[in-house]
Amino acid sequence: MLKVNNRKVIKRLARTQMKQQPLKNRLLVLAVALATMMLVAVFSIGINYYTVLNQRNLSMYGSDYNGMLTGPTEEQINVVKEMKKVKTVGMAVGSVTVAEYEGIAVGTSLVWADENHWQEQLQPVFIHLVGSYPQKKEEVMLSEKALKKMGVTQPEVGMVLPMSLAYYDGLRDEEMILSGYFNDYSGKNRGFISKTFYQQSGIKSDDLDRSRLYINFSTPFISEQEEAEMEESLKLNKYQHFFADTEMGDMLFKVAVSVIAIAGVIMISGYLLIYNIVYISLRKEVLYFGLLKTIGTTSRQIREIVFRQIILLSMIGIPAGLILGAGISNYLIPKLVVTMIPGVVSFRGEFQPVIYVLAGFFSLLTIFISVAKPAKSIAQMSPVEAVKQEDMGVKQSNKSKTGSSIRGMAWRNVFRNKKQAILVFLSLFIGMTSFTVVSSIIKNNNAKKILEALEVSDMELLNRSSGDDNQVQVFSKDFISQIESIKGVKAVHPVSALNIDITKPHEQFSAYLKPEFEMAYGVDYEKEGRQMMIDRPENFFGTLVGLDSQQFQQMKKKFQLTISEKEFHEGRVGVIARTLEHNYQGLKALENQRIDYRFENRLLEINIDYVTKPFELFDSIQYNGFFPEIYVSNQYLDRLTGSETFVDHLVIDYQQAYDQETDLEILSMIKENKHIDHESKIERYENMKESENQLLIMGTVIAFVLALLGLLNYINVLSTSIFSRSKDLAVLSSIGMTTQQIKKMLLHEGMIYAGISLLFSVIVGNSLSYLIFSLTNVYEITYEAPLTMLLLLYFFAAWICLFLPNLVYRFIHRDSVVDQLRNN
Amino acid sequence: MKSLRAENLKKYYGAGNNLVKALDGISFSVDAGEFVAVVGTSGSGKSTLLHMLGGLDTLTEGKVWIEHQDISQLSKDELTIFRRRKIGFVFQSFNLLPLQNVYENIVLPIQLDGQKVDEEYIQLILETLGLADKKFEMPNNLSGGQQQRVAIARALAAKPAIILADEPTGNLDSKTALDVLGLLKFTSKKWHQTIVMITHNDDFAQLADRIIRLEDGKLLGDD
Ligand SMILES: Nc1ncnc2c1ncn2[C@@H]1O[C@H](COP(=O)(O)OP(=O)(O)OP(=O)(O)O)[C@@H](O)[C@H]1O
Ligand SMILES: [Mg+2]
Repeated sequence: MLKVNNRKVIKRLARTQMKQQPLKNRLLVLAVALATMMLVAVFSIGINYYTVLNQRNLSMYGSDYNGMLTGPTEEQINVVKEMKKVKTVGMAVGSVTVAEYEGIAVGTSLVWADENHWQEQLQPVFIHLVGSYPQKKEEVMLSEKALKKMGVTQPEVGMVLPMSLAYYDGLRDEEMILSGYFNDYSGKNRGFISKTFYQQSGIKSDDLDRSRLYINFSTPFISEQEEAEMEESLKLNKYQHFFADTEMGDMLFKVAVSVIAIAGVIMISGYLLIYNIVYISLRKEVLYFGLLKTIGTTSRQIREIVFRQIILLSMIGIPAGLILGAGISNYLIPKLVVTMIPGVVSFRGEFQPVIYVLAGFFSLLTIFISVAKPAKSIAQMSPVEAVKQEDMGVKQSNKSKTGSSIRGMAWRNVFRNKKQAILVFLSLFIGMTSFTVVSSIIKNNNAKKILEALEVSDMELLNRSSGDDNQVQVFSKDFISQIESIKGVKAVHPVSALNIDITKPHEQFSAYLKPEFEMAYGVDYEKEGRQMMIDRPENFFGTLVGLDSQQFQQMKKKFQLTISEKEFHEGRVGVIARTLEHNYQGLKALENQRIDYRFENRLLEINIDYVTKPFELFDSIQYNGFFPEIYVSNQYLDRLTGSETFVDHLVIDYQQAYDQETDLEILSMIKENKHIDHESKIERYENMKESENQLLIMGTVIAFVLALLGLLNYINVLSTSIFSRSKDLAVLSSIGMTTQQIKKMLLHEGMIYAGISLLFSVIVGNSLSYLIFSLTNVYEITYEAPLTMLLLLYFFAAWICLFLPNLVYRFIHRDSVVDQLRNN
Repeated sequence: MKSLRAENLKKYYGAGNNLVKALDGISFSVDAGEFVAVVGTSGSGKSTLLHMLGGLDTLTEGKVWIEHQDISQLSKDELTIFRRRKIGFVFQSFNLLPLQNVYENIVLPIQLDGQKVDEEYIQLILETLGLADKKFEMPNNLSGGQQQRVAIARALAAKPAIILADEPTGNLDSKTALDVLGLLKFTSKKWHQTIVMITHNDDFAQLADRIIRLEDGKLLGDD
């Protein structure tokens, strides 16, 4: 056969035909743009979230690794290198510490990093770096933080730094030369020395305390099982510690699953809408295509015409969506990501081309999938069929037996084209369900709610000198009564604190010590901890925290304590607080036990009445010793010290929560005092509120657009269906169906659409919301359905479903019956 | 008794230069049980006349009585209700409802009126029109002739005062057309049914009791 150049004709046909249906084109562009925009938003949340997590890890660890072994032997290093999932290993050995520089105590540890550690694991952490890694023995490289601590604010490569270095066997004064300096994400006080220095320092590469093997795996997905197997194969000695990051993979997996799930929902919604628009418009044009076929257009050419049209429209819709998405991503998402990850204060969204490529690709994919089937069916239809069949895809059910009541007719009209009806239900359902889920997430992330659940007090004033050797008593009786005299203040509760020595730690705290040493120092209690306590008793103190009567009463009520206030004030019983998962069991054993302690040479004892569960009590007590705090009464502490005990912080209740005026008055009172820090509930609320607002905007946009896609689909299908039925409606009118009866029938159709999709959305949407809520409920908040939002949505959806049919009918009804009968 | 009386019917479309006088002063009447054929060239106003008689559109001038009711006195909805009780329509393009089966199509006007269906009578109509075995068939599965017979059955079902048929055989081949016409004539005689039928075909018109001729919206002859 001759190959005919007919591109031009096809192009022209596609274009002329497209002009026939401007509304369809606009709808398609809108659908494509909305779907693309949301894909951009979702991908960008996912990718940024992951980037920020990584950054946070870098700044926490100070180098880029996901596994570590302390004091590795040659053999172990080789075993690690041989491991399947290991990509790189790097060595670092802490050789010496800078003790003093020109009389200033510094305490900077200097580390030798091998080539791998330097190149692969440290480079990603540096923000900027001047100079080069030390080569000669006397060269040193320091972080800007370390230099600052030494009082060097304008470092220069080559400058001579005379310093006193603490080797493992004693202090030595040496002149070092600065070979380079850097600033990194960790902002740590640290430095590096040359290989020669390290070799001459006498530290062995398997020194347990100072030598570390840093490992990078080729994949973030390391299971705990694998971690255990690795550890096994390393045959660690008793003091060695091996760690592999198993959480990053988990996290990445969770992020990926969420992103895929949301992107999936968006794609399905987009698919449903685009499919229906294309399907309906092709159905309208079936005659035209039939004619094209009878005059010799091939199936392939017809398919090409259809695809050409959709590609033209995508060329407008996709870029529009990408731009909209970029807007959302750049203004909202960085802030959003920061609020989602604790510990990250700021984040600047980077331009990530991959997001736009992905979003563009997936929306194009969605479009092609949506169009493929209708295009195929229209292309494969025989010309005769096409000319004859006006209602493409309608399967006539044979021999129906339902009566022709108005309700029955409505039911049949809805399901006249089963597939289309199901698509509409599905998209309404998805839209409304997503809306329900998103608005419930927003509702339950309400800042006020979280603050109430955390029992945050209206205002807390903190003494900054708490941790210092020279504590300053800023919260004197005078100061407290001054605060009390402020108009909106209901009560001021001073919380005092006093260090004590625990006199029989090994007997009374035995169950506590083992896990605590492991967590806090990474050492074994029996082997090293016990000795550490003997060597440096000043590091192992306990704290008595003093409360006033009201706070005691609150605590008594909350924990259902049985002790009397008298016993409490006399210091006979106390409550242990601030427990964590790892030490709770050990401390729980202390309930109803006696604890011996010493204060200024007086030997004393106290009974423990209750041990709080992990996170049961949140408090801002600032100096925490090795042992958990014991809560006693202020009166008791005052008697013990014989004077005003040091007040660590003040808890202030307002007459009215969130009272701006009182807040300002207190703040202006402490403004001048450099020893006082504050935590205002209003400020916390405002901080949370800001991020909450961003969440709200973002969530609302997503929910709204998904709901919109569903409703658009419904509107599109329904109005076309009524238009195409205008003749049937005229026939009904000619044989005596009154306008009222027709309206009733259409209302019933709307009720069926609204009823079915609402029923499912209400059930599934709310259960899903509740499920997500319970899975993520860290603050033990009680669930609240976003009633107003939901009712608004349900009413709005129902309203559209119910009244749209009649609205469209009113529009066509302007023609007389005769015209409607004629128009076909 | 007269089933239908038309008095000075006028229907103008458009205005000024575009004014079309589709009907221009037509008066006539039809006796009960009479079978009348309306003939005339294309564009002479036949369909317009029929629509006016059936109250499907509003007149520019004139009055139509069906039995004793002046239909111009009725509101739109009253007219619709009147139509389903007193007038049966048969169109050239059968105009059956695609989602309703044969039986449902036929009884729909009665059900819309909230009346009880006279099953025996419907069965009789179905048998008379040769549709007894197609009772639960969907319209799309029927031939043109069968579809038009269903339309006739639907028009008959409510025992209307008059049946108005606009080229009921226009879409049928001549043999089928004759079958359908024969049935129309037969039902007219059997149930004493008044029928006004438009046709292009003079041979078919001869089957009627009386022929009305239209030309440019005017009555040409009434014989
Ligand atoms: N809605 C309308 N608007 C304007 N003119 C109309 C309208 N309906 C009918 N006409 C005009 O009125 C005249 C009569 O039309 P009608 O349909 O009654 O003719 P007809 O005799 O039924 O013709 P045919 O045999 O072709 O069916 C025609 O000139 C037509 O153009
Ligand atoms: Mg006509």
